Amino acid sequence: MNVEYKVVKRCLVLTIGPELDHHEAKKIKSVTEHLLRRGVTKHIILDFRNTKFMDSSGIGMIISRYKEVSLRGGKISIINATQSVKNLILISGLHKLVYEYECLDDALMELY
Amino acid sequence: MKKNEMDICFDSRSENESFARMVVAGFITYLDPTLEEMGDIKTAVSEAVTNCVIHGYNNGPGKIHMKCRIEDKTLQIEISDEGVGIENIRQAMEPLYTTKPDLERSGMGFAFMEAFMDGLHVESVPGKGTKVVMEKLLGVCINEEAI
Repeated sequence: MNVEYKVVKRCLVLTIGPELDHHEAKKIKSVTEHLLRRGVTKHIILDFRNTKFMDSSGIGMIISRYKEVSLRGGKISIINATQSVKNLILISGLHKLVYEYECLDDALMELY
Repeated sequence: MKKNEMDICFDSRSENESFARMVVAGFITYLDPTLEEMGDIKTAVSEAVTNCVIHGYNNGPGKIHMKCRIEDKTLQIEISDEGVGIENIRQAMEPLYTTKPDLERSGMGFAFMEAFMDGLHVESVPGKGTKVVMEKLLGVCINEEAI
């Protein structure tokens, strides 16, 4: 599995793998569904530190996670994004829905 | 002016989305593209192949054809399937339009192909299949002696 996760202060922190395409996005969906259903997390933080490739499947995945956390009053944040990931987020207009931070500490400080 | 062509056929599986973009990346490496050009091309290939897998064959079995052609500084990529085809191409190409929101599709596939490539042409016959032809002009000089 190319996605790692941890829970920090009711935030689900997902570290995305090197390539986020349709194939990988399907795996992330099943991981987050399982964890959100357990109800221990409110916010989602997506860590793109390892991600060198993303396509529109990644955008679809982020939009779906946004919908899930919004229903619970949570927010979705993106950290450590490379320039190519930032470009895709900008082109798709996603920067209006998600919060971008340089690192985990910045994201946590903003959320709490 | 040197021509170079490549033609492959592979199964319609989500695992092969990364395979397809790696193949194209490998094929154009000798042209010494910039990281940005490489990223743009890989994203566009990924979008087109993903469309074949999800829409053309509806996640079922099928074959995807991919042809690449380099002529001068222009890279042409043709990706086709013999799947369900598209009824309304103009609507399918609209940003955010998707027939499969349940599969977490963003509806940005064609928009990304258009944004990252210099040319995009889509042909489709319902019930017969879809062909996407993309072009990109690479800003590098081909060193004939180095080939």
